[in-house]
Amino acid sequence: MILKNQQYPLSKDEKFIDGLYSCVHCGFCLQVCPTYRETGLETESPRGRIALMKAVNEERITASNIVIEHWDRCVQCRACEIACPSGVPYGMLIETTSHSIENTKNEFSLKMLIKSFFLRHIIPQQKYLKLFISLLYLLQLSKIPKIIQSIKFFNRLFPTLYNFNQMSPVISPPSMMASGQEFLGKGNRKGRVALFTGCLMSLCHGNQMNALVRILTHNGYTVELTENQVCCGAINSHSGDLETSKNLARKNIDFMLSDSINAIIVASAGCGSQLKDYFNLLESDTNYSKKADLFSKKVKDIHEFLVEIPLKLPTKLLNYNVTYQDSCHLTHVQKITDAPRKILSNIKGLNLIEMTESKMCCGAGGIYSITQPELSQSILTTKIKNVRATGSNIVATANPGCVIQLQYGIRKHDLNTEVKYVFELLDQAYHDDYI
Amino acid sequence: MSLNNPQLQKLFGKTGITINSNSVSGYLVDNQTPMAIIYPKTIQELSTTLKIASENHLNVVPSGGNSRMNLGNQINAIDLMISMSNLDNILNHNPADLTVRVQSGITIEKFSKLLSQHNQFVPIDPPLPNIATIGGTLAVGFTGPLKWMGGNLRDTVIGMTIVESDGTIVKTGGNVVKNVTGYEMSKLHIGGLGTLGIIAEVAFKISPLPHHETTILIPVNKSNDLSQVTHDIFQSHITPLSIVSMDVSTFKSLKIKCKLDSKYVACIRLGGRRNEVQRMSTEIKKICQYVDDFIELDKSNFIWNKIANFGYPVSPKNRMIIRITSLPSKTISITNQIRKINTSFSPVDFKIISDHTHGNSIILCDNLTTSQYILELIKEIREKVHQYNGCVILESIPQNIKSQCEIWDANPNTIQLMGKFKKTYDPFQTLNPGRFAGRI
Amino acid sequence: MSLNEIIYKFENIVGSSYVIHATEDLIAYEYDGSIDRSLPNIVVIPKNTKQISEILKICYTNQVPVIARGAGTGLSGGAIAQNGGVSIGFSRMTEIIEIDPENHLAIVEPGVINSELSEKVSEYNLYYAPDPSSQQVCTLGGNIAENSGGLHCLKYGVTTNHIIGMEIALSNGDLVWVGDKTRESPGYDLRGIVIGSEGTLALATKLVVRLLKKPETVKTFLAAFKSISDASEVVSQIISSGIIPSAIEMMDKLAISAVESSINPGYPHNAEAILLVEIDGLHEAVIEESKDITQIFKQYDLLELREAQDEKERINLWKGRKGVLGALGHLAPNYYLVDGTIPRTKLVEVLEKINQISKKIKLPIANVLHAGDGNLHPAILFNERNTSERDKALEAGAEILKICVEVGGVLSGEHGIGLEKQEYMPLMFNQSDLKSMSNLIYAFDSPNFNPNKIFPTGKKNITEINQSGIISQSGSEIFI
Ligand SMILES: Cc1cc2nc3c(=O)[nH]c(=O)nc-3n(C[C@H](O)[C@H](O)[C@H](O)COP(=O)(O)OP(=O)(O)OC[C@H]3O[C@@H](n4cnc5c(N)ncnc54)[C@H](O)[C@@H]3O)c2cc1C
Ligand SMILES: Cc1cc2nc3c(=O)[nH]c(=O)nc-3n(C[C@H](O)[C@H](O)[C@H](O)COP(=O)(O)OP(=O)(O)OC[C@H]3O[C@@H](n4cnc5c(N)ncnc54)[C@H](O)[C@@H]3O)c2cc1C
Ligand code: SF4
Ligand code: SF4
Repeated sequence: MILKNQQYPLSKDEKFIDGLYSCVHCGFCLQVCPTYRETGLETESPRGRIALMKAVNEERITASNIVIEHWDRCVQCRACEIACPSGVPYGMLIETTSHSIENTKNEFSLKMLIKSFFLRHIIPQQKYLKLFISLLYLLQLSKIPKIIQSIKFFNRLFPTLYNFNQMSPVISPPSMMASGQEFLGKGNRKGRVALFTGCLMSLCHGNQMNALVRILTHNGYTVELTENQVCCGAINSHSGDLETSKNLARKNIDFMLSDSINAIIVASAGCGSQLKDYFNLLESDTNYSKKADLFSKKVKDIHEFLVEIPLKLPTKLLNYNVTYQDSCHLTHVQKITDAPRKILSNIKGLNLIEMTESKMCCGAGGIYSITQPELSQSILTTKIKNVRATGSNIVATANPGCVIQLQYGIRKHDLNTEVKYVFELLDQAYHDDYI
Repeated sequence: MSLNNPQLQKLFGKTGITINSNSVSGYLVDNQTPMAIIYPKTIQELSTTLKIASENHLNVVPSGGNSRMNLGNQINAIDLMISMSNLDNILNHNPADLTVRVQSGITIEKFSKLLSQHNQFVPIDPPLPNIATIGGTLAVGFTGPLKWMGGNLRDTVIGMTIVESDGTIVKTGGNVVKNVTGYEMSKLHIGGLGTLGIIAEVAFKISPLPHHETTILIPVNKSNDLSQVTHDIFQSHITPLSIVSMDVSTFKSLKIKCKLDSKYVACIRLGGRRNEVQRMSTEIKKICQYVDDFIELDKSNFIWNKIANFGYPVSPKNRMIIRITSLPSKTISITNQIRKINTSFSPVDFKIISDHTHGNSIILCDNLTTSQYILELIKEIREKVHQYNGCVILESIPQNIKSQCEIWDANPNTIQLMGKFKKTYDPFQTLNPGRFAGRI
Repeated sequence: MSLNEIIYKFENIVGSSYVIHATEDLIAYEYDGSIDRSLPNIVVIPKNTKQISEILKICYTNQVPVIARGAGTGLSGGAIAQNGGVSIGFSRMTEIIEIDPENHLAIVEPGVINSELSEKVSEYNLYYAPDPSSQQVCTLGGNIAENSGGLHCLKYGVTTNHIIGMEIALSNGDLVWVGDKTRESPGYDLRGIVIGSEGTLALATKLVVRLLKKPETVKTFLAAFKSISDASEVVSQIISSGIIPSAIEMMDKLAISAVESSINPGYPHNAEAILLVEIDGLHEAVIEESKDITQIFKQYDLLELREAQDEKERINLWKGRKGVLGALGHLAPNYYLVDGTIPRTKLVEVLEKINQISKKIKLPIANVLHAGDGNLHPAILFNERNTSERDKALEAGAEILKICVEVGGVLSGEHGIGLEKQEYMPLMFNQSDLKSMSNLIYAFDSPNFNPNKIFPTGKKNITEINQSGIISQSGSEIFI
């Protein structure tokens, strides 16, 4: 194992340095941080992570593996950013840091494999990703996962693989491939929107994507599934690979930005945050900065959009007890918390029961559940405890990562609860209204 | 160490401090007479007195109004009594700031009069306010059937000047209502019974007097109803100044002119704006729907003075006063248990007043006979109280049994720690030696 | 015992994940909410009282400094290990052991977060009254150590009024109860001594807290004044009229303009000072008291008097007050936040003096105060990189504290002495006062608990004082 430790500042960028020093270590961010709450360790807190960035940047210490591990354990839920009274741009700080250290580690591990291969080569290429997901689906149809689960020692022999097997998403075919299809709005036409299909969501949750199209067309919007759109690049940004994510951004802008659409609708909170941030990402790219700005302004989260238009009221009665999990990127980055609740409250018969700490992360965090299984699972366990306490039969949320993670948690803890996107419930409630 | 009179005159002669060694016989402490009583007029004189006393290893008893001198364990020895009666000035009353600083020898009555002129008060209502002093009351540190919301006595003290056993004058706290500068040394002396130092000056934060007061008497016949009433009012969203209860014979012994036919009575003291008091009184009647009779008294201060003076002024020789503290929810069960003792030790005449906000009960036992019997009774009461995790203080017991029982219930761990304080602040056992909890 | 041996022993007690000793990791424990930093040698994070007791025994035999650490939000450097040593973190002792709604009590571990306790007991219509602005994060253990106040302590009192009893760990590891669940317990009030002792005498390991019933009605007023002296007079008038509001907060023009330009709570721009006054209690009392307060306001030439019409407006009114220090970041890169208390009748006089100081040193001073208690928080605005400005700010701070003491006030209303103000203590206390206080350390036998804090070292002179904690960098929403 070769360690190539960082001996120089993480970044000399003024924005980064100003960001670091705007932290006055008041500690206001501690209690919202899922990793601090689980461990009780200041090293796993936003304030601690920033202190370590400062110390490395001031060259008091090197970015040793110990230090890097603390940064890696950040779920990047960005709850700390909201809690911070001083406006410390934590998201930017951690992304810059990840970027800066990315090349210094060449230790071989599954994590590195995922980072360097999966993220850089598979995810950006929809066709490879599709292949991968299809293989996963076939695997799920076969008995192999069950067999693996039943082998007692597998867990100990290949813990990461075992976890991966346990956590893999429930795939709901058919997948939705964006290839320029167009679905006409029903009734009074109100406009035209482009649906961002993303990578994982369209492949794993194709059914749900179709529901989105039904909802939008029912509300009078023509929906286009723009061809050649690619992954948003969020996962690459979070793990520090800014180059790949900039390339992806440029592609999406090239293919999707058009005067003819009113909005770019996105249903995954993580993707939405990334798309809304393109203007920032491409700020220094003279060719793209203007376009990126336009693009970001057009991006609308589905809940945000539906509440703004405002949506047609559904008529079907759904007698469910539902609890809502605030997806981190919707809450802390896009700052949308009321819209999903408003949509739920528009469904007749539905009883919304708030859980304790609905704004606390579930531990999904992109590939976090795979790279930091222990911490991710202990965060998840706390979350499931809170879900259980509400006695709801459905937990609704707004992001594919959260759906997958919660499904896993519910399986693992034997809960009798279903996980659904908020809009899935709306789709169900529209059942009698669709013509 | 004992001195004779000439020696004493020699020690104090040059200081000009008033010293009285003639009529000391009335100042018994645990059956021992001091050699002299010293009347310092200034803090400086007080300091000099203590300096001389500690240098000569004399034992000193500080004295306020002498109304509670019998509280505490048997004193080891006494040479001098220091009377605070000449240190009774008001140093600084700032009515607009709701703060006041006084010398500790001031009587409660004089102090309250000053404050009430400005419609203000400090929640202290000890028995015998005309003789009890601020210093003595703080040194004893009990909370009476006071204001629930007024908080504990200790919460109203914002600063103090203390003279330590070696004569050092020490200032702590200040004259402002919010202060975290340094340790809060005054806490050592409130309830310290004058064993760590003499309180010389006290600064209080004061409260505005309620605009209006009313007392509601709720007569009930069953002890269950009594606990229901006190519980329901305590839990409701109204906050009376006090919730007190007693049986009817106790009530009668207070000589309050008010006819009651029931077995028990709960007394609820309400204070505040007129409409607020009215609302609270209506609420009480609503809360206690199961009661049919309420007596409402508009001018009710006299009741509370009587309750405060319960057991006083004279403690007859065969009377014992016991103070019990417990969780408010346990008060009635405890007093019920104690009343049951009544039947097995036939001629004991218990009178009990309970405060349901702080969880205190004060028990008078009259017509006591032999020491053997008293000791047994105390043991029995302690057992009952401890069953409910309460604790017992023997406020006043016959002198002849003092040496055979411990006045306070305190756990040995805590006592050991407290012993270290005595060692630190009074290394020569100058002040009230042996009188405090654990015979510290 | 060598450091490594101690580490080994600690690991046997709490497990290796909770013993921190790598320099990189210790960096996350070198600071608190103040500006000082210093590395402890070891951080250990126990889970229960028994572990604390064992850890303390080891520290005692080796006379290693022990520094308790709650959430590290303290503003006077209390949790900083300025001489190294063992920092004991309470972040895993977060259990609410018992809630006794019947007697309005709860027993909690010291790592419980202030606001979390209120949330947990709210189903019984109870709450924990002391509400420091840091209540979302600070621990009850830290609160007892600093005897923290809050916005509503004017009516309800500070921490010491709400802690009935504690289990404490002494320096030798012994556990002792001081006070218990009942309000009166025999012996010296050691509970009252430990509260506010800044972790120098004993560590709190369990707390019995008093809970209050939630008030039925709450009303909040905003009054805008043409002069700061009018506002100060109104404060004195309200206090002396016999009304005790739950809060009276004041902000001056500079503070108002800072919040208006960033948070925009809708305070009148042209006001020289505003007051936020809150009253609570039974509906009838609140109605009458608000009438009286309105009467007092009306005697003055107000720019505006506004009463919050609903909860949303009430929260909005407070938002400006809460965000004020963060907002000061828009006016200058740094501020030096002074904390002192004066008699409430001296507000006019002292605020005028502060104004003169500001003119003299040519640095703006924004005043934000818990006016009802007379607790001042002047924030001197300056730029740290300009050393002469920095020195002037420090001198001005010292001067303000001196004025506080001169008019009969004190050095700290709620942030404690810690490292920050230890050298100022002689302004208030003489040698024998300080000696008597420090005797407590002998009585508790705790010289290794948070050593070299609170008491003056005498080595530094006032301008050179290590300004731990007082020069906060601006930008934080320090809502003091
Ligand atoms: C039934 C009952 C109810 C009570 N209710 C209340 C109540 O409601 N509220 C309340 O506050 N108290 C209450 N007390 C306490 C009691 O009233 C006080 O003990 C009394 O006020 C003492 O005042 P004194 O000046 O006579 O003290 P003294 O009898 O002179 O002294 C009492 C003790 O204090 C020491 N002492 C006196 N002065 C000083 C000083 N300056 N510095 C240090 N030590 C000193 C003495 O050495 C002695 O040990 C109650 C007591 C009883 C028995
Ligand atoms: C933005 C901001 C706003 C603030 N607002 C207020 C305010 O309105 N009012 C106010 O009073 N304060 C305020 N403070 C100061 C601070 O929050 C309080 O002093 C708080 O009580 C500290 O709690 P903590 O858990 O962070 O303790 P820490 O900072 O970790 O420690 C403080 C002290 O407590 C000791 N300690 C911690 N736990 C224990 C224990 N279990 N036993 C013994 N000692 C212990 C430590 O050794 C240290 O000396 C504010 C601070 C900030 C940053
Ligand atoms: S809340 Fe902001 S300023 Fe405070 S410690 Fe966290 S990041 Fe730093
Ligand atoms: S982003 Fe989330 S996990 Fe990371 S430091 Fe902030 S609160 Fe903690």
